[in-house]
Amino acid sequence: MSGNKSLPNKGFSVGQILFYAAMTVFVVIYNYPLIWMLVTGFKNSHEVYAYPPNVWPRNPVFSSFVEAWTAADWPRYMGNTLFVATAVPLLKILLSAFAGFVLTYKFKGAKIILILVLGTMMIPDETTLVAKYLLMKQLGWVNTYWALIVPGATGAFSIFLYRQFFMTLPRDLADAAAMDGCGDFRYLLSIGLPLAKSTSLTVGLLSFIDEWNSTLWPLIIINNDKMRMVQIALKVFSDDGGTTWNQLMAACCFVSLPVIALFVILQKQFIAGVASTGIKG
Amino acid sequence: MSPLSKKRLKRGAFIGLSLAPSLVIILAFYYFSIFYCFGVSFFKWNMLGAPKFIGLNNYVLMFTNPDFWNSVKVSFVYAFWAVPFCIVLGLLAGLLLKNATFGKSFFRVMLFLPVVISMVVAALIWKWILNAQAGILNYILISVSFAKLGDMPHWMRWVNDPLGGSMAAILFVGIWKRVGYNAVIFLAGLENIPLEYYEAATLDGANPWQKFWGITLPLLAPVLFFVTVIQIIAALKVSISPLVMTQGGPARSTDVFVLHIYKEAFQNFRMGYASAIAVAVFLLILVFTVLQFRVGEKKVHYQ
Repeated sequence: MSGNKSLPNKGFSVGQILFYAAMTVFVVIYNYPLIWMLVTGFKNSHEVYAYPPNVWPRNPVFSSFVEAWTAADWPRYMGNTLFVATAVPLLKILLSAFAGFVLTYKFKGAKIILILVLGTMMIPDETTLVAKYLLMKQLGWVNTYWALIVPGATGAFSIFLYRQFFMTLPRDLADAAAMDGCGDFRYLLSIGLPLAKSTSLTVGLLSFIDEWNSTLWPLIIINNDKMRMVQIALKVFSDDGGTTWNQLMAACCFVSLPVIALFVILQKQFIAGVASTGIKG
Repeated sequence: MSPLSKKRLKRGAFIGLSLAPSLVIILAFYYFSIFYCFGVSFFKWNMLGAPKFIGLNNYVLMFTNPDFWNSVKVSFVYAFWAVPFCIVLGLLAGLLLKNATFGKSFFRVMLFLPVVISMVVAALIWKWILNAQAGILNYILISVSFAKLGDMPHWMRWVNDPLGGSMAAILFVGIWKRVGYNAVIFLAGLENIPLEYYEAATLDGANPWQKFWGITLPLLAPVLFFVTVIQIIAALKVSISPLVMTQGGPARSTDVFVLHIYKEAFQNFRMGYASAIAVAVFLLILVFTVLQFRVGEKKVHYQ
């Protein structure tokens, strides 16, 4: 934040008012597709095809949301997605914290392992889809939660973040702990990890949103309705006969709600994570 | 055993156990997978029978197949338009945001909302906005007399138009999803530029335009380069928006790389051939990733 805060009791200059007007217009236009999603969700199945389209629903109804929710087994899909999107971040925090922590040690091969870890950033997931699918088939993991959870349970980016954080902890801290007979394992669990709370929050949040939004991998690896994830489930509203847009947009609203809510609540961690690394996205 | 070597053994075990799970996952799903992909690309395999070794045949097939070259063209056209728009609009938004004296975090959240929602949802929203009959965008274009109802140009059929409309449709989604992300990265870069530079320029009587070209742009250059490379890589990896909006059609007009691989592998079950394309795309993206790492080393640091 910039230091020169304006003083509200002095009133606004004309320039400032114009600036904020322009800013507001920009933000409203930019977010209009999201507003349109919400507005469409509140239209009934006749009004949604009205021409000219109503910018605001003439008689807003909630029925599209109810119809969309009952059109498919959403509790099941939400449950599946929530399970995966919780398990992956928790495992990722645990596994990459341990890996990142020991990579701050000096030992033979530490450098090579770090390069190996960071090198995975050069291999885009999109190019290994086929090979990963074939590998999963060999492991017998097609149509299992293993396939959805294990590949994301660690990551170069999160290991790197933890390593960067643990390198900032003073040596004295580890030495004092060692004097008290506290081993590496206990030191990491009871001192290191609690101090790394903000790294864990960033890693967990980015990973949750990634998993909640994941599409291509579940599309390939899951073809069992019982294990379907929410993004794939949005297909139910389109068939050869067309799309029921009001229901589809209503479903898009409730599928997006968890990530939007989480982002708004924890926006500081999220944006700090993105801006400091530039890796996500 | 001496207490010292016992301690060393304990530490060694701790290091090994801490790294093992992460290393197994990384080796299996990244390094092994990319080598496996390379290996499979020398075989003909429909997943029903046994794989049959055919040497470089898949690569010969690929380079002589017009559908492959079409996907090269489509992906490059997509990147050609998406990258500059994402960057210019993102920079514009970042500059606006930087000048906000209050409410900065509110505006930043608003710019980031389209970034956090899923690509599927974004693509579906835009497919609805671009609906030829009931879509809001065509209605706006008609009401500002840009086009006449009943006599619309072909591209206003958007996802159903092979001559530009479908490409524009996936571009809208891609650009929309990226502008907010870039704005936040640029904002972090802009806030790193010392205020004294601008104050000195003001004393010398520089106008805002001169300040932008003389101070902002040169000092932002590393970030700008970094973001450009990231955007090129992202554009070459685009897949969900054409998958949701057009399935690569009409007439393969949006059949980007990743979608082409996906269809060859999981619809035509040509695992070897799909792997050959994946290897080609991997090598192409690798060029840009190496570039990104090189620039990264030269301390492109924001925040």
